[in-house]
Amino acid sequence: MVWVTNIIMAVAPAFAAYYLTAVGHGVFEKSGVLNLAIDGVFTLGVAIAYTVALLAGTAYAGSVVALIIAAAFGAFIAYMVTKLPISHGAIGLSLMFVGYGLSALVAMPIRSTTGKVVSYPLSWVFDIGLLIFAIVLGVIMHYILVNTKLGAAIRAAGENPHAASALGVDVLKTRIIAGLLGYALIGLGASFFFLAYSPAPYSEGMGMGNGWISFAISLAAGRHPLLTIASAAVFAGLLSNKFVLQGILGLSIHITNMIPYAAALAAMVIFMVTPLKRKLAPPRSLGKIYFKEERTV
Amino acid sequence: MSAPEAASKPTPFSKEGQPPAKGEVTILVRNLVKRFPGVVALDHVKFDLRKGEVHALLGENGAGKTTFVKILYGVYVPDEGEIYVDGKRVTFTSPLDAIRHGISLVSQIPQIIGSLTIAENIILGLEKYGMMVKIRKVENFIREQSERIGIKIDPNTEVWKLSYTQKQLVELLRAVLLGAHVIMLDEAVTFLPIREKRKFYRFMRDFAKQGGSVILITHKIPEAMEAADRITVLRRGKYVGTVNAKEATLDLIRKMMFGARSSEITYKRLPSSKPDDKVVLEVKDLWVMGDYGAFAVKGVKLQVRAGEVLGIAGVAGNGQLELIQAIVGLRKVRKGKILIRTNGDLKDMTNKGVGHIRKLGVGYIPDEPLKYGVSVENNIEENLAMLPLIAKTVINWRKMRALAKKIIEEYKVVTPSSKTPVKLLSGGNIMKVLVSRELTVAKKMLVAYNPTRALDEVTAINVRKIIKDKVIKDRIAVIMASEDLDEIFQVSDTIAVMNSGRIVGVFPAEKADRDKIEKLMVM
Amino acid sequence: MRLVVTRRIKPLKFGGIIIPFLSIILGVFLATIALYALARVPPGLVYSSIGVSLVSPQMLQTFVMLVILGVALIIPFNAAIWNIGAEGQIIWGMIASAFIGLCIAVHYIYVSPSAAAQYSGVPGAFILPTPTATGKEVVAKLSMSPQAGVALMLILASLAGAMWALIASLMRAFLDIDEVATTLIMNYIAYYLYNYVVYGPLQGVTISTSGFGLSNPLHPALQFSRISVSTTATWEGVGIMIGVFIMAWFILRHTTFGLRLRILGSNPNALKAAGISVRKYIVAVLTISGAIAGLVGTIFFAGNMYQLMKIKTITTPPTHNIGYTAILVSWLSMLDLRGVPFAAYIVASLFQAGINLQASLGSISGGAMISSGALTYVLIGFVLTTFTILRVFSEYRIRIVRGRG
Repeated sequence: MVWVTNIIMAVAPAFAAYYLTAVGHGVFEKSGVLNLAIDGVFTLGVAIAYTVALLAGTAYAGSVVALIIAAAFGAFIAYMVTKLPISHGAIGLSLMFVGYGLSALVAMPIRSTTGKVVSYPLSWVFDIGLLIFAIVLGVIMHYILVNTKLGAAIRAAGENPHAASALGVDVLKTRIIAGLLGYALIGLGASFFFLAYSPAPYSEGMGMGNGWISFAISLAAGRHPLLTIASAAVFAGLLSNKFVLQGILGLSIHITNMIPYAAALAAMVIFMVTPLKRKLAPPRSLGKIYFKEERTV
Repeated sequence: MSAPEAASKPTPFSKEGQPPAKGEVTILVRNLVKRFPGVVALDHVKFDLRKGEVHALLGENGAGKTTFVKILYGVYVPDEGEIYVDGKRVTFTSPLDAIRHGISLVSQIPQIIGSLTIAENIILGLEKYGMMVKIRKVENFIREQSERIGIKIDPNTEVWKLSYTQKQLVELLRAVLLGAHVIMLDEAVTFLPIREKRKFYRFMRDFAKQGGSVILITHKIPEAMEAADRITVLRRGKYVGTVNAKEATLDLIRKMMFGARSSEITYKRLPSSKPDDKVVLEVKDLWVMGDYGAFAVKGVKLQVRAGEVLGIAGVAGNGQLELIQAIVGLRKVRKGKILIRTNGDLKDMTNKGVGHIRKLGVGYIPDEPLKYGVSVENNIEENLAMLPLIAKTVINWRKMRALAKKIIEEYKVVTPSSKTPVKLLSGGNIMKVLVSRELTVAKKMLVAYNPTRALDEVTAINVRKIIKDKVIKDRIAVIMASEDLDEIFQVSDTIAVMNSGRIVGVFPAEKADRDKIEKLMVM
Repeated sequence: MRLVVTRRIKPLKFGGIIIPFLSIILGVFLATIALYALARVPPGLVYSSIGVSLVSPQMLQTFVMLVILGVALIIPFNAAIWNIGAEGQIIWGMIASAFIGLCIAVHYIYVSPSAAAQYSGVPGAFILPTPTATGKEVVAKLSMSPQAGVALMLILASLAGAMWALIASLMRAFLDIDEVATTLIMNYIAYYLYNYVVYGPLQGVTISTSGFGLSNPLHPALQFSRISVSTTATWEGVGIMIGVFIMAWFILRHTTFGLRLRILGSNPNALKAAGISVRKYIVAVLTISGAIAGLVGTIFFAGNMYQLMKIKTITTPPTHNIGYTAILVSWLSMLDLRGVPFAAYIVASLFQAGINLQASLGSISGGAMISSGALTYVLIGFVLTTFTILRVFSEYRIRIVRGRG
């Protein structure tokens, strides 16, 4: 039994962080918005979680505030790219830089006065709770996407916003909801990344790059919340236990580090060339500028 | 899913909504203006729709019919003007606004989304269901309602699995389930097989009888006269007039549609080019897939000789598009052969690719010129230089300018300069640029599909003359498919009729019997 | 009341100048507010740092790289294809340059310390700073002329960058897999590959490098020449920049290839109907972009780094994330090649402003707690977000519609 709790404690926090972030990414992109701001907002979420947890004295406050601020980013992006004919890629990358920059500013005052860190309890009970919490959230997201009118609206907006609008979908409202939901999860994931997975003394830029890892996790699972459980588990396992694989296969650590990314690429190819395409290919209007007043002859 | 026996019992209203009194005005439009970059699509248009009527909207291509209904459906927002629904002034900024007022639109291209189920597509417009409602629960409602009006469907079917006709049926069902009392059909029945079309029209009549209203857009005058109570005609974005269908004559409507120019319009055959014996294109037992996984072209065999115009007549959607695309190399041939004369011999060009075939001296005028013909963001010179047969690796811009100037003069293209982006030109002028460019490269053959579809009649006839002149002068071969039988008769030397993917008859144009051809097209 | 967006018939007059200018002012203003509100950075200091950096020669190197990369990215951008993978392509350029510069253009002679002296001052011989673990001195001797070595470095770097981009381009052209995601993910593969290489095939032979994630240093004869002490920019870098720019200008303006790639961006269907293989163009466009980005790898390696050094954390690659910044340069140029130098100048200045600001913050508070990188991100982030939004108004206008349905 000891080894089970050991594995859970080693993998669960990383899994929860990556899984929630990846599901959030998937939900948002399902609505047709290309999400390139993810890494910046993730990094900012980490800084906020650290700062607020320390100021409030409880890790939960850190998660809540990170969730709210990240969700605000999601709503802003959704509003901008739906209301105005704005390039999804450009606004995403610009906000990525904003997120990187703000993360340093947010954490600076408190970091310069203390080296303390407030985190979630480091116990296997908490970790199991976290694991269940993350998976339940993912399953709820899946249920919403597949079984509800909201889910149908999100998918419709992602496939073809013009047609969706003609069918009676308020594309703006739908995408804002998707942005709020998606980025709330991203904020939450970022907060767990710091407060549960790696609560080391904060250093500038902490968490950077992990948003992209979640991006890859989501794409490796075709943005499907349930399949993401598998891809997130693989990534989390590799990232926290990579020495195991290195030992077993005799691979260089640098090569094992690459595997998740290569796997994501392979998954994208598989989703496009096999019948899985119907379910797992990217939304058809992902990243396309939505402009209504176009003359169509 | 079966076609609407439907028609017998349509229910245009949700239970609570009682049909309003007949004859009252339900939609009133005044001074509607809509501008798009480079064009005034609607210029102070007025219109009124009464309860219980079928109101046809007629006009040439580009008259503004589609823009008009899209405004009534909230897709576009007008620049000026007023819209009243049941006496109340409204401003729609999204289709949802229109749906709330009981207005629905069925377009020529189905707007339902392929990856969603029928139920999902329909529920998106039903506001009485909240965001978190479970779709399963609504499926039953949809099943019941659709059975009530005689359409048998499984609401859980994904839309991509449906045929075109089935999709249009779902669109219609959707309009009814949304509680529409105004249904707008924008060429929605044009592509339907004749039997389904009749059912659609019957449904429409019954819908109107129960107090609903229908706006019917079509480009077929006789159809409008038969199906509608009143007819409103638009011309180049302007309101021309409204007449009772019973009082209308073909001639009157035509005059309204084409104005003073209607006298210039002639469907007289252009002089024959006297084909010789040299076969330029030979198609043998050709099989080509359509977009929906079934064969669209089924064993077509034909020949085109130098100096000959072969016109392919047919109702849209009978495989002409796929045949034309296969000949120029844009669509894969599954079986059979395409031979094109090269250096004196007929050579096999099957699946050689569009680049290869075009280089032999083949011009191509595609359907939807703005999408497939020209690049609207670029100017005339650049649109010329994009063809491999016109410009080499390093572009000689001086030569391009000279060629552009020549085309502008010869074909009387109205444009500020050869450096004006094509999107700022009118549809007719864009078409002239396209046709002249393609004729420049058509040293051997011209392949065309609906070459004058986007044009007003006068310009259309001019374009046909230009093509015919080229055939007579340079002895090229032309294969042209058109949904417009007048066009076919005017330019063809030989007429082939295509139906359900097969050539069902070939006639020399002088001896062709129009009635017989029409019958072959729809049989 | 609702907003309706309509397209302008003609783009806003002088929009290409007014909009970037306005964005910079507004963006810097917003950044200043954020800096003051969150970290109490005095606004005056921000403005003076930017003012100084606009005329600072130190930003020249950043400028040179951003122009080259801006050109590299604007080519696919014109064809509506995004290359987010410049990072990875630069890394491949570095690895390829290092391979040539450290393995092909030189060979190593192992000698005893006493024998090493006879090589000092010998043309073409370079004694590595430290000996091997067994106490042998290592002498690097040129195997070819330095010019040939440099040329080979550039050629192979360019090929390597092109090859890395080729993978993503094939996936896009034949499987229709979005290049944004693939090029991005491939950056990370490239980073880890780089680490694999510095611990593997290209690791140094001396006691201070082997196993420390360092390669051998580059032979001085193969190093690019610095323009002056005040800048890290090199003559070779500037030359490459000018060459790349002229070539791109010629391709985009005077060849059918350039014309067609622009049409690919606005109307790929028309291109197909004209008989042109869209796939070939997608592949070519991305590959060319990768080839140019690969050159930047050489400029980094032979102009600044001289030695491969392991990536400690994935967020601090030797590229300083310039591949991402360059995306914003090509975006700021409004897809017009002529705009690239201006955009690069602005972004390079903001980069330098971050460095200046950090230096002056450090001198005020003693211990600076914010890195120059973070300060730069704040400035660039806000300016480009503002620009991205305001840019809409060059081609669209916004109308307010009163009343509801």
